[in-house]
Amino acid sequence: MRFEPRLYHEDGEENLLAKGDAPASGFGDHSDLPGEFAELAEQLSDDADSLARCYPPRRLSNCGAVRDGVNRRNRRWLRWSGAAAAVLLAVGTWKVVDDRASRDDSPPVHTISSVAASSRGAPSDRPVAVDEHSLAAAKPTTIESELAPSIFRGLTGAEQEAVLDLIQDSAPHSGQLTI
Amino acid sequence: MSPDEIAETSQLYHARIHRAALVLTGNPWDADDLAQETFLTLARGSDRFAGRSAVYTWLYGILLNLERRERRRIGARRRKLQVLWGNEATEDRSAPAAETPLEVAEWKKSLWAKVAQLPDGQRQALVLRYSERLSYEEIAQAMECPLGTVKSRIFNGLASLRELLDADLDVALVPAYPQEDLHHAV
Repeated sequence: MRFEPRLYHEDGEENLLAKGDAPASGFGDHSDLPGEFAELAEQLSDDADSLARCYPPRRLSNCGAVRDGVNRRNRRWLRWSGAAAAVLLAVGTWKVVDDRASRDDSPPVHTISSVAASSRGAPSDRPVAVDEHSLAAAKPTTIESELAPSIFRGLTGAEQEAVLDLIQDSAPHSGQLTI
Repeated sequence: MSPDEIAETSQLYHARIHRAALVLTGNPWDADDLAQETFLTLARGSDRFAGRSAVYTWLYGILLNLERRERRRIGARRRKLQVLWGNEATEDRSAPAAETPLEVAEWKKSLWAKVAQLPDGQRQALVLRYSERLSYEEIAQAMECPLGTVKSRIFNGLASLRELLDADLDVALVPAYPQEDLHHAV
């Protein structure tokens, strides 16, 4: 037999349910169902009614809990946004501190503009004429010395100049010296 | 939804949700918990309610999801315990096992105890239809499935229920200790 159920609640009962009232006990005649199924449906409805009568719902005592749930949701949003702001602040602070620390740790860079200038012992504050072609061709040479950073600390300008001259003399090839 | 609206909705539909939960779980304690959890979920996620359906169909949808999740959780726990205790020597128990679901006698005697053996889709459709008296469209909204699926689930659910009852009837008709046929004996 083909099952073609008829729809209920097309008029008044819809509104009744929408108001939250208990379902009507005389619900439908199950005429849309085959005979044996209609009996089953009727019995299911009766059983549900008697169960609901035996065990009525307790009063919703935790209405406050429901209300708290909403407040908690709002508080949770605030808490999450606060936490995100705190994390951003912490990361930013760490970044700044890290940058500053790495800048302090890096050795000072001294550049000798030309071999000629240093070899003649010209004062460091005096301008030195440098051939542009030779400067462009000269590849900067970096002398990596373990002592270099400590050597240059606490020296006067003249002393630095002298140390640079010494290093320059011991350099294997001429060129721009960068420490 | 404002907190006052949510509280009002909870008061309004609590009895109906509790009734459905009672039929689904088989005992009033779990039904209380389930109903309360439904309204807490409403409170936490009321901003997700789009208003495309009635509030109570949305609440039924929450209830069904929570109940299905709880059943799966209990089922998984029971399977784990079976694995753990599978090799243990069986002894007579003075009390039911801890994992045995608690159900009240009235529910066990009702047809809903048989409905509980059906697949989730059929079981929930039957509850919404014959306990909650929802229309097919409302059930489709609550279960988030097409109307045709709802109709077939209800029809198949009733057919399966009929088969379960028939099987029980067959078992009941067979005597526990059939009299031995001694006609062949000389």
